[in-house]
Amino acid sequence: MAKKTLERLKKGVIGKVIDIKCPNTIKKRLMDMGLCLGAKIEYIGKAPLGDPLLFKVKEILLALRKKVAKDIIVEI
Amino acid sequence: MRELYTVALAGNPNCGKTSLFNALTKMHQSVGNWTGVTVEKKTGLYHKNKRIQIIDLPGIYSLSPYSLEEKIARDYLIKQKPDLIINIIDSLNLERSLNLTLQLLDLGLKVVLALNMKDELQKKNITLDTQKIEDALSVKAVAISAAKKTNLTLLMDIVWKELSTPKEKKLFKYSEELEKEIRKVQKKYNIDRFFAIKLLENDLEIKKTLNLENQDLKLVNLQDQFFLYRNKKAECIASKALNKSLNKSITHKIDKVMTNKYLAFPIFFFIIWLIYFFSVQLAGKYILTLMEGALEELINLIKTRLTLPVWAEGLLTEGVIRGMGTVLSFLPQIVILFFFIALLESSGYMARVAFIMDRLFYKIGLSGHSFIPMILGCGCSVPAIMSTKTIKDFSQKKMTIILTPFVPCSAKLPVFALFIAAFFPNNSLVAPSMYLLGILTVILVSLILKRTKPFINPKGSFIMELPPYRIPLVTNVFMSIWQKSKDFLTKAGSIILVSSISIWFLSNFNYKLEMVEAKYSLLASIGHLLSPIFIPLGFGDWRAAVAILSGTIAKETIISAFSVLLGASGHNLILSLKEMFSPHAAYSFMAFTLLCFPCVSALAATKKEMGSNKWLLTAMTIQFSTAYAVSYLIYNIGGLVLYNIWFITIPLFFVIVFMVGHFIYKRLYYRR
Ligand SMILES: Nc1nc2c(ncn2[C@@H]2O[C@H](COP(=O)(O)OP(=O)(O)O)[C@@H](O)[C@H]2O)c(=O)[nH]1
Ligand SMILES: [Mg+2]
Repeated sequence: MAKKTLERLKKGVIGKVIDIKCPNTIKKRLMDMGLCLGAKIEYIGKAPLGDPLLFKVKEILLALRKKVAKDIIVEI
Repeated sequence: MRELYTVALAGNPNCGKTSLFNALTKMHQSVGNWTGVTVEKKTGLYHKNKRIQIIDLPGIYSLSPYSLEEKIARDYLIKQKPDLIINIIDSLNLERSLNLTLQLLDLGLKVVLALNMKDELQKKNITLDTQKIEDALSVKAVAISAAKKTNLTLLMDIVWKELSTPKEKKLFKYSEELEKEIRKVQKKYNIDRFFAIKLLENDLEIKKTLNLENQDLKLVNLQDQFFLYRNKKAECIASKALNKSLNKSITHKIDKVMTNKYLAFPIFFFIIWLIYFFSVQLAGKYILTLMEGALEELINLIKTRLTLPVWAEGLLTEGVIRGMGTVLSFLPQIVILFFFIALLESSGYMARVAFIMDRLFYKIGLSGHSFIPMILGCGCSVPAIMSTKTIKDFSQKKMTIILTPFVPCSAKLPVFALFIAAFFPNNSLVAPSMYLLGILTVILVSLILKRTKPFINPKGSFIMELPPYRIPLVTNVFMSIWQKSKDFLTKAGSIILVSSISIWFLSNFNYKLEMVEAKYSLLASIGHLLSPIFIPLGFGDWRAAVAILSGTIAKETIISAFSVLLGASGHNLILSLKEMFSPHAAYSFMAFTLLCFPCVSALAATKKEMGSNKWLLTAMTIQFSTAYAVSYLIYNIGGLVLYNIWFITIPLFFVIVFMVGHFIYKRLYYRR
């Protein structure tokens, strides 16, 4: 079981969200959009210029800036 | 029995609300704005039963709002209280949608579930058991397809039945401990269940609504507990109702191409080029020329066939018909523009645009969506400003609207061409320098605005859902074009018409209301009055001021204004201009023409998209002061450069000091 910040998740690896350290409004938003604690998340790729990053939670595609992804902790 | 029942459509973004709305109301719909903001409000009557009024709410993820649109939707639900909510659910995202459903049930209003995308489920061989959902939540649920129009009558029959029976208390129950807390808060403040729940979820907006914002309520923050409870429940219901989970969709494959490292930009530029070509080049130029021809014919006909007093003929031909001609000439551009925008939005590509362009724009306070208006702005600011409709974030939208006119539109080009021919015939850098100046101004002004209060984006972090790619529905595209064109004709059209008549009046009458030559008109008097303002910019001649004023009708009018006022055309016009301007005053005048607020048509579009006169004035003030400052610098520094090259080092020194200071500040800031 390794812990990582979300922006360092590798392609094809599925992580489980264990902590969201973003400010409360953003955390709430992420959870409402489907990225909640315990959710399985997969890194899909990044935008052509390197930021934002694209993740998949269930069938939902979420784009997050690196700055936000850094505050999300996953467990592999 | 009541005359009219209101039914609100609520659900996640992209779950099919607008599709269902269009299918239910057909042509019996109207578009307005929610009071005070420019978010669209669509209402309509159910085409089979005109006693049901349907409202298409903005998409929401939860009842704790994050964006302006979400706040509007929630405020509507808690303040206006519709008679019934049709909660549209994207069956492909059942679990997340149910999180919202559970919150909607907290409101204590009648709710009917419409489980949309039945067709897609069938295609994937997935069955959805609506009975299981009905049992778990004790509300009615119907599987529908808004796109294929399946089960819509069934849905509306159930809605009608619910509307005409009194509501029984059916609330979603939380765990025993949570219920206890809810009851406690309800009793303490004497409020509805929904408000109590939101207070316990630490919702600041609700605190404000209840006038409790300044009090420390000493409540436990149960935000996570509520969320978890709902989430577990939603997961449980979804897993019971669906017979198997989803497999990979084709979206992933399309995205591999559309957001590919090397292909994303070429594809994006190709699409923008297509829009530009069809709406600005083809419709803007070709159809425009045709329409102008027809307009001249009409004017000639009036002049020859009707014998009218001179003033009436002028009013009719120069004021009314030309004004209406201007309005109509924008119509083809707008129709084509919104055709493309509707395609991009409902196919899911527009979200990708923001995704791939984000990196370039967020540093200057804008987003990828601002790019499309800027490109369209090279052709004409009117469609460019209209296309900011796609920007959801209001502060970004306002900034984009203010910045877009700094991009040289095609109507400014003839003015530049004339001045270049007169003053810089052998300098091939002057024309491109106008584009450069435009782009630099966009960057500089956005960097400044980003730091000023109304434009600071408190929720600057980019979190966005990329919806699956879908084939757009013809009805949706058609309705969108129809509504937006109608909106433009009525709202912007009237402003353009009125200002075209006013300018005609001002340039043909003097203060005694006698018809006079342009030289002695009210406009000339205003020009005399205003001209001292422009002395610091190098063109204090009253005729320059009048030309700028007439330029507000359409920028190319500046040329004809000079030609009328100087009584010269062609080569003579160039000679007369040379007497009026020194070369650096000429360049300053060009910069002013480039940056000063756009023509009335673009201003009408600005007003429409900004939503208020206050914002229109703010935009005009920013644009005017920018133009004034830049022209001032150009004229004065330009003058100094001509006479003493060393003087340029002083402003340059300040710029360098500013940049170094900014750099050090940023370093220190990040170290902290
Ligand atoms: N296959 C399918 N697509 C649908 C259905 N309803 C809506 N869509 C598509 O889903 C996308 C989003 O729909 P829209 O009505 O704009 O959603 P809104 O954001 O909730 O208003 C559009 O591309 C629609 O064509 C449906 O029942 N089946
Ligand atoms: Mg919609």
